[in-house]
Amino acid sequence: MESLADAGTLLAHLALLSLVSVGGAHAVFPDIFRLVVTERGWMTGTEFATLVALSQAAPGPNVLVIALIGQRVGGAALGVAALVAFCLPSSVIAWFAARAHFRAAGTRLTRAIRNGFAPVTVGVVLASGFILATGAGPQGWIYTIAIVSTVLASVTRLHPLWLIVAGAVVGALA
Amino acid sequence: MAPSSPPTPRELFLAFLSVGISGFGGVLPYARRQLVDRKRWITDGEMTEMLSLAQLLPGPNIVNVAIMLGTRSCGALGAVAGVLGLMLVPLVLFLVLGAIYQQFAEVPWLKGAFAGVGAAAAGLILSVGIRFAHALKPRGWVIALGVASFAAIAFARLPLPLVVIALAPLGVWIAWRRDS
Repeated sequence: MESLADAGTLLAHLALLSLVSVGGAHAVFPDIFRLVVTERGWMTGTEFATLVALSQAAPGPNVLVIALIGQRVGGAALGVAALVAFCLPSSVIAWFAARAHFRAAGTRLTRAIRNGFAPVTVGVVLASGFILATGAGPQGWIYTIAIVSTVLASVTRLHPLWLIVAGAVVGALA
Repeated sequence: MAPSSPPTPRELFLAFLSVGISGFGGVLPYARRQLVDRKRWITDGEMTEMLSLAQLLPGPNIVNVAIMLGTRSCGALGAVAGVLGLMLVPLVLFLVLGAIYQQFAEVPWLKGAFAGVGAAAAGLILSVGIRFAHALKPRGWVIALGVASFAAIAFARLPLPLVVIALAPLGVWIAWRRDS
């Protein structure tokens, strides 16, 4: 974190991403990663993946990872500001949409939007997981954890916390 | 199940507070349990409908659900109460955890542990994508659009807004043409 301009860049970027964050924070991880790691170098890819991990391990909505990213870049105040910047624009849209939706629903256009967006959303979420898995580190055991976690979370009803704990234990011993 | 009367902003705040502090690795299951099973403010069908719309809109799904339920129950004040209830306590907890983590970030076994957690979390996200994919109808254009979105971001590393602006209207157009 070098200056107020950096804080402004982060907040403006988050506010813009908020408008296209269909699928939630996961969907915009690749783009946040691009800004804070690849372009600006405010943190390493491993640090980024770690903050995401921390947000998965702690109770609460996963979107709070945005606050962790802001905090890592410029302290707790920027963390809170980052969360507001990321949540406010989409929330205003959601509020208007909710009002419109409860008045009129089930038209051909709403169906087309729902069905047309769905595959893009799925692709985006999968890409987020892929980028996080490859960003977590180059070691083979990291990919092993990611693959085992993917399989177990997909085919079992195992509580996610067990996978998080197992990942932590394996990582600490590796 | 007879639905109970619409919640007040205070009730929404407290209900989402309990959802926010209990959800490890995603709060959605906890939200469903609280809103549908315990409070009976909405049915499973209404929850599904709100969630569909939430997934369609930008923003975190659970935040959008809180806004929709709040708006429907008691207007903008209800929406604000739900979102604040969801966020306030976990936000403080997260900032404390983030600060503590930065103190100990260089301890080797802790770095390893967090890398392991990161990998497991990546797997959780991939499994969410897989579960979403299962819910889609396996039409050719659906698969092509999903694969194109994945490749554009995971391999070509294109910015998300560009990918969404390019591919989502295409999907809507195809879905519109096929729905008659």
